[in-house]
Amino acid sequence: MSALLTVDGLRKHFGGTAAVDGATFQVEAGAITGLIGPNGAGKSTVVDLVSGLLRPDSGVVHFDEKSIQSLPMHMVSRLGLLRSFQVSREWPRFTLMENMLAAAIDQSRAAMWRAVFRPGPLRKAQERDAVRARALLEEFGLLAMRDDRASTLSGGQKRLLEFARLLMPAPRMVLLDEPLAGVHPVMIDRVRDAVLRMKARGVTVLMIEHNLAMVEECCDNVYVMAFGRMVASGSMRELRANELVKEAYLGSDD
Amino acid sequence: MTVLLHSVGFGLVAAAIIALGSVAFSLQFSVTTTPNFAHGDILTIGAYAALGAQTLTHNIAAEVIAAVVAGGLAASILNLALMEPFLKLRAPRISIFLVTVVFGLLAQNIILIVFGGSPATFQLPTSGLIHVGPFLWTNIDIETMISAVVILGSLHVLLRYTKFGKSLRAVSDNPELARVTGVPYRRVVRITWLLDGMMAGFAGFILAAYVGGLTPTLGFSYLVVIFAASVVGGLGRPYGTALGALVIGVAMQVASAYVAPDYSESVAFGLLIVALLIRPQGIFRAEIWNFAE
Amino acid sequence: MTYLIVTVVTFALIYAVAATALNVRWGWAGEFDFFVYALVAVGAYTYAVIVLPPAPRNDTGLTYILGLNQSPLVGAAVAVVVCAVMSLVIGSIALRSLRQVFFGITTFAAVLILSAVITQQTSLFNGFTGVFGAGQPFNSVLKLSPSAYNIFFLLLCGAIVGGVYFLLQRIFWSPYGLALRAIREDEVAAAAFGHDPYVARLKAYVLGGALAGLSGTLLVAYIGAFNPQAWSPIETVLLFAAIIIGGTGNMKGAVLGSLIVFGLILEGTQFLPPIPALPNAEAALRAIAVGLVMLAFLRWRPQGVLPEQHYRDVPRVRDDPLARLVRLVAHRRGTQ
Repeated sequence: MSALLTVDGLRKHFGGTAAVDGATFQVEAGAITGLIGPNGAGKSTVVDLVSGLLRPDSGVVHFDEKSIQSLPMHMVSRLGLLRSFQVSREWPRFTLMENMLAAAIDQSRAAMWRAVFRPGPLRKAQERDAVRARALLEEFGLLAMRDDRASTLSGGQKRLLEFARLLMPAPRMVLLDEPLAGVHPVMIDRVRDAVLRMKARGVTVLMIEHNLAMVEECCDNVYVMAFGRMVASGSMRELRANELVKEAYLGSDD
Repeated sequence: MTVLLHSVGFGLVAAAIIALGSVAFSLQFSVTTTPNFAHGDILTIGAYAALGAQTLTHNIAAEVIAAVVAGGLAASILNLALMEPFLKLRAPRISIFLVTVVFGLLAQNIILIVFGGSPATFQLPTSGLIHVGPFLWTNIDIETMISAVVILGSLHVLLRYTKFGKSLRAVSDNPELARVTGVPYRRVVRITWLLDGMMAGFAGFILAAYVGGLTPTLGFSYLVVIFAASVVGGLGRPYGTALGALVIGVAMQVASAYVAPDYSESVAFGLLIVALLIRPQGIFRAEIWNFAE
Repeated sequence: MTYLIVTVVTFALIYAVAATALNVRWGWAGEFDFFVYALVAVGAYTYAVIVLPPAPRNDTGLTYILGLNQSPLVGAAVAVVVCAVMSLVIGSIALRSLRQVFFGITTFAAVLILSAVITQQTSLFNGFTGVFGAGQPFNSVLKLSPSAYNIFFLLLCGAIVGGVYFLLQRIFWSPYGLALRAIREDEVAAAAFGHDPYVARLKAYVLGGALAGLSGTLLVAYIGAFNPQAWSPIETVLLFAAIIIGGTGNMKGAVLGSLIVFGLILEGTQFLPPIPALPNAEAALRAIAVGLVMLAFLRWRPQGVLPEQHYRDVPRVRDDPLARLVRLVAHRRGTQ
């Protein structure tokens, strides 16, 4: 059991406040790790820092034994570490198929010259992408809408599209930022199943969530975060028994 | 040494004009976050209105009033007829920017039709250069600087001590919060555009008097100088912009004395580009809105 | 009459190439770029000074740099390369840190600086008077009559526009094209999937620059002369009008828009009789007409006549008319 992602002493200040103040944790390969904590604890900021959207003031992040804390987001993604967003960021004016195709990372195909002079291999690769996209869309129940604009989807469907899109480039690990945010209660089961299916595929998951039932069902290990750093970790059962955690956060269960 | 002092003196005059034009721009931007590419053309409209008044009455007060009214009217029309409908449509920022560009185009061409394209002279009675301490100014220069100080001072009083000023600062800091806490958002925006236009109209009048004449592209060509002051001082920061105008005005005149007169505008361009690349948020750290409320 | 139509369509096609350049930068990449038309001018001047013989050392007042007396193909190639390189330099600086508003302002300032430099440094391109004598490429070989030559040039432009269109469509449907549009729509989401916004935008910028240079080459080759009066801010606005009306992001739209704006509105209105009371009003009225049409489109049909194309994974099934009719009748019967 090796740690795929290690974070050590991550710090980020905004103006005078420390949003993240010495966060240290590890994510085991192949597991689903939860990250819970009260609002303002710095959870989303940690994800922003790890994924490369923000630059940390100090601290080290290792992914697959490479240090990534100073890499911009597109470089981090190319290493196989992808993320979702708290408010789902699909491309609304693109169709579902286009959303899927645009997510296929293969930078060797991004060259403009190839498009002009050697379109053949590119077209074949696009065909393969399309086949994979259709399969994923079907798995998430979205195939029928593949030529519709993403803006026409409901909140829960957008979330499912986001998952499908995340799986297109076959990532090693994904960071999920509140996957249940904005999802109608009837869709919760589908979203939970989608997350479990990721694990079944061998994708490592770090998940921020407020819905503790979801965390309990999915996560192998959970970190509690407050005031910019980790204050406890363990399984949900262990954490429920922990006085510190109860005080800081587990006042009432969702 | 006298050359330097004289240039600084001329620079102060230039700065006064630039300040009037650019503070209006920054004020409007701070509230709406829409860069108004037709801003220069509002100056032109003010200038031509003053020209019209001059041919009719030869009364300076009338010319000023004409410029201010025309500027305010033009800006309000831009806001009411174009900005509000397009913003309601949730049009992308870039489309709105383009709309202001087109408005400027229309304004220029309407002026072209009504007044013709050849340069028109615009003179105010002048006393010639007088020595005022180490500086060399005409009475018009002095009046220009005084009016700039008066107008900017009044603006300061408005922003700091009136209810409207507080509302404007609230909207500029955080429009969503302002809307939610009962600030009359639309009224603030409309009055801001009106003020912007009135100041710009007056600036156009002054600019035309300074240059001695006008063409339909008077304000448009001045736009880069206005942008330079606004960016150096901080886009959307009226106080910073006023200081930016000072920097740009003096720099332009000093450069023109020591390098070559043709290059004064290039100095403004240069400072603009440098500011954009190195510090696009302006050289001043924070906008001095809150004076220990 | 034919001569007029030939002229109008030729101009429209030449500007269509510039419109596609702007479409690459604005329609595909989403950058508000004022500098496009300046690159058209740079392309024009570069072609001219490569193709013309050395400036005569007498006092005709005609001075310019180079004057290499090369063939039109060499001139065109050099012009395109020069514009591409210039775009690379400006783009790599401007795109690194500037967004939207600031980017637009910077490119605007760049145009003014370039214009000032060219006008004032007369040794470069003969300042305000400009260069001339660079027209009629290939005619020393072909030796066509003027009317035949015009048809030849029209066909040449048509072929070039067709080639450009074909090229750009390939890029549009390629992974790069989709990535660029994704970056335009949401840069953060695109970066989250491995796309580098800076590099992609820079490529689009250089491509747009090359196309603008090509357009400039055609322009000066057709008119034979070029000077600063030919490039004022209104030209850039007209290009924007062309792609807004025709359809941003759609290359067919860019060409269509150019035909409408440059063909119909501009050249076509030369047919109208002048208004005696307002002698200089023509050009202004034309500009106003274009401006108003632009506003109308921005307000009521922002996607233009031909909207941007999307992948259709499920191919449209072509019903045969009979089947459709039968279905229609059955439906009507059913709902009585």
